[in-house]
Amino acid sequence: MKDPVKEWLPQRVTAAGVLASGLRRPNGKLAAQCADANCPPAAMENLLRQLNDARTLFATEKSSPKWVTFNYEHGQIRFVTRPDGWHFAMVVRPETDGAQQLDALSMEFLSLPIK
Amino acid sequence: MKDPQHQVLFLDDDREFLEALRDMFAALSGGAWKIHTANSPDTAAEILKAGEIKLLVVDVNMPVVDGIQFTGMMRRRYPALKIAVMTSDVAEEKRAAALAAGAELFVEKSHSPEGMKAVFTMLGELLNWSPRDGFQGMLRRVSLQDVIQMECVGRNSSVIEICNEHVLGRIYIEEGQILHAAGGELTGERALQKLLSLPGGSFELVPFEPPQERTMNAPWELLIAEATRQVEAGALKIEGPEVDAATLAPPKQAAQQVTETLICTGTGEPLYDDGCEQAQARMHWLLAVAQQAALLNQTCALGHFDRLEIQFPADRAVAQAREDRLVYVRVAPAKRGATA
Repeated sequence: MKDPVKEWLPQRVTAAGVLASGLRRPNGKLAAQCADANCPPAAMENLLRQLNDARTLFATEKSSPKWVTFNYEHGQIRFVTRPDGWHFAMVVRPETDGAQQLDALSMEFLSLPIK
Repeated sequence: MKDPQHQVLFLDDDREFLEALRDMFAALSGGAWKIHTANSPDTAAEILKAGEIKLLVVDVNMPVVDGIQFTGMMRRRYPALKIAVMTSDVAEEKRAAALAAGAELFVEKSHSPEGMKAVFTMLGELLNWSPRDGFQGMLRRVSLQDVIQMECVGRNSSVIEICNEHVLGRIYIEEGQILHAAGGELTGERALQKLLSLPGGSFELVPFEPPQERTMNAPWELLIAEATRQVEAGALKIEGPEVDAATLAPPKQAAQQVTETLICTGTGEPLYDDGCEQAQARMHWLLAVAQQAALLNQTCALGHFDRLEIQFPADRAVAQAREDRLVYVRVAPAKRGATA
């Protein structure tokens, strides 16, 4: 059976300026795709692990964030967390189509029907 | 009878200038001003907490938090405080930024006795100025109808901008004739009637500019009389969404309000704290964010870290962790009816 979430990544996260993107399942398994040699799949998977480990840093006593964005001089890292344990991360160049789609794709990921 | 003493606070990172200014203005005021000085924003914020200061005078170019940023913070925190920005850098963009941040006066800093006397006079006028004496008034003090009548009788040309928590509107008057009114989703006579029926709010006279359309041709006396009749008959109910000030269209997103601000030096020394319940813990958190950002950057080399944005379900926060400063700001949608 096809995995709807795994299909979502190559179908939807395709805009110019996206360096890499990846998903982390609740069981810890990772899936990543990359469009830039400076950000290979192994680096993306490492990034997802680091972001997962840092989740407590972003949460407050009252609420957990829907997403966080690390903004750097030459790129942005978006990390989106679902209450069911799925995570999604994207690395984009600033001021590109990919950067402009960050919020829309994050919202889309949060509303994906995953069983 | 001697006027009551005005308490004035000067914020400037130049200690020598502050001392000279204190001596000169104390002498010029003949004791009518009690002058406080601060050479850092956190000292100024502490002095302001006592609630005694009537006028704050701020320099623009200061390290970490500049005078315009500080003006904006204090304007939100103390809406009734009068604020003047005094600077050697009188570039137009600085003036516009200072006024946009909430300053009532933007004045050039002078180091000559004559220049400082002129500054003293301007600050004195600001101290004695009240909205009732100027162009801005509250509807509960002077009725909007009175102002419209004065403009029409005097055959003046102006635009009256009206706002309260429910509606923003404009009335266009050219040479004593009411040309157009817009308020919320209404235009023409209905808008005029709606604006005149507002139970409270504020209005401001601004220079005339032609409206996009003319919606009223009747003599102003008839327009006002009909509006008054409608208001007295209780035919108008004020409701509807807040609207955009520039276009009078519904806003695209809710207004925001800052709920927490913390600014520290790069080493963690607090400079400004507003609404931060645990400043020390927040400062440590900012340092942890900087460490995390550096760690991620080892995996994907993306250059210097600038900031972390956090989107919570109901609000959002921005954290900046640089070598010279740590900043945390949390912003939430403004509650309906709350002041900015």
